[in-house]
Amino acid sequence: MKRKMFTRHVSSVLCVISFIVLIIGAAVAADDTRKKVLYVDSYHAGYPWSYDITRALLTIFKATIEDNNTIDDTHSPVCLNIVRMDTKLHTDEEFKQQAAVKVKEIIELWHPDVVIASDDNASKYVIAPYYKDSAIPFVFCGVNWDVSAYGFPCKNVTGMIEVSLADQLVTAMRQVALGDRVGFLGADNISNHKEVENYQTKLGIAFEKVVFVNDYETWKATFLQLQDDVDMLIMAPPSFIKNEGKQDAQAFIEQHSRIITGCVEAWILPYALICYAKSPFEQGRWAAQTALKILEGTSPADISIVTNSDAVVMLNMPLAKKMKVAFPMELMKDATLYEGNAA
Amino acid sequence: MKFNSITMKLFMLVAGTFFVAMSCVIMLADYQLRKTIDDKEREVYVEKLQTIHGALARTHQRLVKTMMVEAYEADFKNQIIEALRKDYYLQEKQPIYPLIVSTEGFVVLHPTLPVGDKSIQTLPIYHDMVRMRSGNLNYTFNDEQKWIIFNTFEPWNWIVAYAVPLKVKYAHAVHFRNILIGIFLSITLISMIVLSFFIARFTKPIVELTRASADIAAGNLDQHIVVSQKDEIGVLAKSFISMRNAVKEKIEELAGKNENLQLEIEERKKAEEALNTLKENLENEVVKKTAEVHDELAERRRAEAALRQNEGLLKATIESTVEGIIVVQQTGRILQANQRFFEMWHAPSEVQARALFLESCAVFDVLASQVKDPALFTEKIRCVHLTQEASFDVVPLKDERVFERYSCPLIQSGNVTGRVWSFRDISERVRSEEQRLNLERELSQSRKLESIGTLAAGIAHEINTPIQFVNDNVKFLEDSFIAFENVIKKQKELFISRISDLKRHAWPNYKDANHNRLCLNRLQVVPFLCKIMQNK
Repeated sequence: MKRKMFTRHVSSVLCVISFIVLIIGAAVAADDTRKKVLYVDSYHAGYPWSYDITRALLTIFKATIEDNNTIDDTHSPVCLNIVRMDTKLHTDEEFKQQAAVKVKEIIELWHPDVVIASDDNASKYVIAPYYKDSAIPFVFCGVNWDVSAYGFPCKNVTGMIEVSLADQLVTAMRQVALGDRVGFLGADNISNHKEVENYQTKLGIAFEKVVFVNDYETWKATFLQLQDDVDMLIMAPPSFIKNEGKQDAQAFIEQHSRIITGCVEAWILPYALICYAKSPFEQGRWAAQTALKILEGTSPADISIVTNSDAVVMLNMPLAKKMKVAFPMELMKDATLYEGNAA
Repeated sequence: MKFNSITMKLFMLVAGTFFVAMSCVIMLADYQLRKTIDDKEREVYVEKLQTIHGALARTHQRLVKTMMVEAYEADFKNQIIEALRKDYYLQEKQPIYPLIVSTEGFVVLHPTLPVGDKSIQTLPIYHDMVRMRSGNLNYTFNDEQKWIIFNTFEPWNWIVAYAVPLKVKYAHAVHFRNILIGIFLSITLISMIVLSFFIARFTKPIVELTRASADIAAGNLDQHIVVSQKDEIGVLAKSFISMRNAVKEKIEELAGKNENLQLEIEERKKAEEALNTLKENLENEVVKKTAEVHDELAERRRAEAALRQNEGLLKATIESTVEGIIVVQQTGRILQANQRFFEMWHAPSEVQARALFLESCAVFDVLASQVKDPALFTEKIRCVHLTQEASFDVVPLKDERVFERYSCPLIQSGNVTGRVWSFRDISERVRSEEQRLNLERELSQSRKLESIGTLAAGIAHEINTPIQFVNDNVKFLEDSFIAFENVIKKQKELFISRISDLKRHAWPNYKDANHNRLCLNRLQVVPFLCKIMQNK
């Protein structure tokens, strides 16, 4: 409890410091006629997903982040600021709400011309409660599967929904699979259940067999069983495989894989043959380009909410070699070739 | 205008200079530009080749990453070739294009040749590329000169090259050169037109002077010259006029002097003829005199040779004689002395060595010191020197030797110039003479005794008959003759004594004395014999 309190205080202090910096920056840039863009990140700076979105924003806005974490936007057409809510590390509801309040304060002080909000928490805790149908245009990105829960679309909000690219994965797997039966194997949790549901309802994937397991041994046994039951297997994150068991799991997979396996998370690639991962860069690029469109005068209402489509294709080459699977060149062309632990 | 006129020459010189300078500039510019283009093009195409190499390398890396190189190699290669074809072969007929050939001799990527075509093996450039692996070359393909830059992608043994037609590569250089030539030709043309005017104006006084000088050369010294310029040509013209006037005066002056010189020349010719005659005479005389001198010299050489021979002969003669000879000049200087002289007189070695440098008195002092009577010797020498007569003397020496001295004057050209002193050692002769005299005396005595014996024997024979008579008186005679023997002994001793006295006192008249002695002996013997007979 004490630790939580301490963390909150630190976060509060950081937010205040950020606020002061923002105020000073605003004062310095008082004469700046450029349009202001505020990027609200649900997570912290070092988080890979957020990092790639930030990288895309900086690329489109032609800005850079200096070593002292200040933004150099002197060559940018816009004036860019970043606020991070840090809700990945702080998952309690109260922190998220307080972080949202601080974001709101910053928005009201700095008066951005457009706000980019990445991931669900920013939409859920900042846009939905405070700025839905407001005058400030909002561009969201990284919101999973469905935005209706946040009251989108509305007149001042547009964005890109984040969906798994399981349909593309299945298409790719079909190119090398010997049959058409699709299976699913994952840990038994809500996320995976939702994923399967979305695959079926939103992506139209028909599964031959869907299995959720709670332990490693069952997972292995099920994997062996599915070798005969399906021709393609989508592997969901096996959260029960700890670090010490990863090598064993890889060895197991390499030894017993006979069907084409796939995944939509990059970190699961050691256990699967093909990975179609989502691209956070696509999310950030689209959000930045949309923000520029809005700044040029396009209304957010005129910009449709889209879903991501760019896949980061990764191929597990050691497993492919073991299974003697040769991928077609159209699959190989833009794929990242995973070379296993040796690499 | 004459072609070899100064105006034309100047014009040609300026035009030539313009042409050469501009040609040099154009060639230099063209060379430099081509060199710069070469360098830049090389840099550019090396970078382009690097780009293709990068793509090939990335593909190769991906191929390796598949871990199934054999399975994917063909697909990967086709993929990159298609990608390159799509990226680089944008036009149907593009002048500059990359190409890839395999070192195994087939086409991999080419805008016109199909993949796998092996006709490239017949091209020399292909073999050069395979041999060099990387570099750049010029070559001709389909009658078109091209520059090719290439390097080898070693993993796949692909030679990646860029072929650039030379006319494309140097298009800018050719364009620049053409523009430069046009500009320079225009400048040259305009400059020539302007310069021709100035050159003609500049050379006009020179032409005038040339014409005037030609007239002067033809003898027209009254040619009128008008020069208004004040530059060097003006000065030259003025100097030319001054020179013409001076020449005119000089010509007139020279005409007068020429006549005088003609006369002088004739006189000198005569004098020269006389001198030549004289010279010939002198030469003949010199030849004659020279011959005489030659003869005289030859004669003198012969005389000198004879003289040297005589001198040698004389010296040898002097040296070979047993007499000691010394030749003394009237002045007292010793002219010659033979070794025998010094040996006889036991002269010290230093006197021998320096004899010819000593005064004769010094030598004669040495001689005087050895004679028994030095004063007499010296006096005689001095007296002999005063006369012109020959002189003879016997000189006894302290060491019992006796020298015979002979001196005669040395007469040259009728004058006494010195004396020759000759010394002969007669010690042996004197001693022999004495011995002979002694022997003769002893012989005479023996003969006397023999005569007496013969006489006695005759007498005894004569008296042999009366011997008997005598025998009786023998006894008596023996007693009587004892006294007689004593007398004889006394007489004999007396006789010897008187002979010795005679010898001693009457030596100078030895011969007479000897005769007297014989006479005396005969006178003394007769009475003695008479007395003997009486006693008998």
